[in-house]
Amino acid sequence: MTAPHLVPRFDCEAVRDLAPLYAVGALEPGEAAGIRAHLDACDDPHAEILEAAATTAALLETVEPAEPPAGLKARLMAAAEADLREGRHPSVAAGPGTADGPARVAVPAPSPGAVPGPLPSASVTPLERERARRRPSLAWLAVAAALIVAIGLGGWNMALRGQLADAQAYQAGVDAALDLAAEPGSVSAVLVTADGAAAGLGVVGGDGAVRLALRGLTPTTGTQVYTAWGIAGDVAPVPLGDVTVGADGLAVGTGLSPVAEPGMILALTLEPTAGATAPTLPIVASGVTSRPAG
Amino acid sequence: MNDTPAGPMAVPGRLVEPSDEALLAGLAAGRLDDLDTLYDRYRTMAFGIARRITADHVLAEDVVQDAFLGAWRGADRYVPGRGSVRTWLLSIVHHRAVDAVRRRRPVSELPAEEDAVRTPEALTMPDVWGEVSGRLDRDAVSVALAVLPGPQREAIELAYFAGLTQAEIADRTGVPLGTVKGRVRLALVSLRRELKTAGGGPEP
Repeated sequence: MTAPHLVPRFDCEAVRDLAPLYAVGALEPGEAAGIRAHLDACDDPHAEILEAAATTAALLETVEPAEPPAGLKARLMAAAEADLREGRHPSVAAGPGTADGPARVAVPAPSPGAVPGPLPSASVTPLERERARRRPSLAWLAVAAALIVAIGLGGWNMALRGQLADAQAYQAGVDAALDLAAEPGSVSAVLVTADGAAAGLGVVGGDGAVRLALRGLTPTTGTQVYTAWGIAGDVAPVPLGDVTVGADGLAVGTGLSPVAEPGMILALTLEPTAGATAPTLPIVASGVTSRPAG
Repeated sequence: MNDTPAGPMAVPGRLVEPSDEALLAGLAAGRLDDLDTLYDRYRTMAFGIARRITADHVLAEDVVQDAFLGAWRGADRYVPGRGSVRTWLLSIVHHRAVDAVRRRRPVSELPAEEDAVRTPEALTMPDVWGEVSGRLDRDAVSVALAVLPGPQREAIELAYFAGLTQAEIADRTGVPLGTVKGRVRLALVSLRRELKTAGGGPEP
């Protein structure tokens, strides 16, 4: 097989027909890929595939167990440890580098004190579902739109000070952000996690200076960074800055944005390295900016 | 078969062993201890399968390591509704073993850029697995396999345990593709029926 595999487009009937061959692994690699592509896209759960796979898996029980060489365990454990150290394991890594598809970032459980009042969490679109729809900008809009309703207008600055302040370092970051927010032309957003709880505050000054103050984030490891993104209108997300997060879960930093307009979205993603030019899903936190009333 | 729960010999306060599911959650969270435990629980089955398919002690070791690493990195992709952790894990071993066997085929069949093929790329993960019945044992499956007509059993063996594709099976056994397909289909239908009976399920 010197040519790249051609992946045929199967319809449901073809998939049902090929289920037994697929289950025993007798399809050519390209054909198997065609089945998987169909299963990924099809609304039919194709129970016949599951059934056939269950039957073939039972065949594994007929195999005589055998003791592997003692050294194998040490090699496995060393490789697993290296995964943790080098950010390849999903619990420490995020980004496109992981082997079998989109990496998952555990959305950090925010500390209870970080919730800015009663957010209508039921109306916050679950990020996971949005991600499945592969419509990143819509996901941001949905999450952020729910937030905007929650914050309301007027007195927002004081409310944020009271609700978001907790740890002192975080407080300092929030203060700096709010100072920037008080300047003419600034726009601000509370960045929320997928479950609707606040993770922090992002402000873009009239001159493009960006200040972020977030907490409750999973610490970064190795070359990982959290990258802040700005998206205005329907253009591609623009990276605003990278920040590493230590054991305290705090991300306090500055960045630069080409624009500062109300309605632009601020979003945070976990990236394998600094300098990402396109966000790696899922989005850890996001919010739509607004200008203080008055 | 001696599964009387908490008989008089039960040791009070003895720690209950973590379930496979709990161990897998530990893998997803990056806990090495849980990987250690899961490995010990399934290492002989995994190595047995890898050795059976590869017929190569050294290659089988690589396969087992690859498979456990795949489970370690992909533990969050296990879907409880699709079968047991045991079947999932052993299916990964099977997948990796078949991959290894296919990569080992004669040089003429390998692409020119063999290095690229051998690079540890995405670990192949089964997307479907399952379990016919929790009560299945080795003997029951062996019997179900043994009662298949010879050509059907051969087709299953060549595909599932030797890693041959349908074209290769047709070539090897000298029958048309359609015949291979038919044999595999009939074999699975028959196996499923036998296993249902053996597993104590209602006769279909």
